[in-house]
Amino acid sequence: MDDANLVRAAVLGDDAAFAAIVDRHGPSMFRFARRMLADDDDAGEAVQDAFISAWKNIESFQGRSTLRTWLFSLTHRRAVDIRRRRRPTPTDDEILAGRTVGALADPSRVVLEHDLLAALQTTLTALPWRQRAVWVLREIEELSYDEIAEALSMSPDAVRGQLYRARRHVTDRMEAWR
Amino acid sequence: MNPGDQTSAAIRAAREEPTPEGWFTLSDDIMRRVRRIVRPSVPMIAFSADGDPTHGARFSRVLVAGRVVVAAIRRRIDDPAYQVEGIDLEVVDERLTSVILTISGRYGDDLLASAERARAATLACIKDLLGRDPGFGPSSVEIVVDDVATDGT
Repeated sequence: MDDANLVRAAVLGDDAAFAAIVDRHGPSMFRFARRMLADDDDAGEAVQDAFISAWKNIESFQGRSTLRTWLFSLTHRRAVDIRRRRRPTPTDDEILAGRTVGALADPSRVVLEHDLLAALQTTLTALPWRQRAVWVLREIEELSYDEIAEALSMSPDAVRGQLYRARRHVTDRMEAWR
Repeated sequence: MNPGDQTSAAIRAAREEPTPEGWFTLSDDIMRRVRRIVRPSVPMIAFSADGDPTHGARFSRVLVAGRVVVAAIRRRIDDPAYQVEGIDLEVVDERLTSVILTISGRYGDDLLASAERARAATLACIKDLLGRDPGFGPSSVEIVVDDVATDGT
């Protein structure tokens, strides 16, 4: 069943249809939230709240954007809330940063995939919030500029500008990690 | 290795990253919460002044739509000391069993006092709208303070 039909069924209260939406889109929302918040618990909370909000407001989903874009938008909003209220305690980013320093110190070290992802996370964490969100939605989740603009409440031109700066920063940092 | 190769490899790895194990537990939790939440159109029963779910000599039942209850609560609990972020109802067998209010306040305000005002206003609203349900009392109204904002945020 496609997204439009699942939404129609969910609007009528079909929780099995909503479960299918959760199964289809949840993993990428969780992946996005983890990249943004660098903490599994916070990411889980953001995604859970986003889906609860989607269930409560699914009648208001007009279909102007895709369901996926709308769900990313809800996830991003919750991630912003969580980031605002969480205490400034050491995060996984800093743990990952420590691992990356080790990798940088030894250029001959075999690059394992998880080290690469750890380096990427450290690089992303150093980006300003919006640049990070734009980069992740474009490069990892492969949303179009218009979809990113919709999800983050920005203009497509602003998305292009943020993405340009983010790409330059990510490439520089990742090249240094070679 | 060409410039950008490292980034391309990282992007590829991130796209192909398997779904984290934690996701499956999380999706179960999400659906458990979803099934507890009443959609706005769900009807709930109104009680008579003496706590009876039927009315009059013909023992008729009066049902009130959830969206009416939510709208009435929202109007009644309006207060400059906090912002209402959400009103959730739980209904079991057409009977309202609990109201969960999510509010946000300002740093430095007496949040406990705000929560108590919201609770009292909600109870009064439910009584006006759904009558005197003997099973519905102060403990049926849960207040969640979702966020505390400072002036700078």
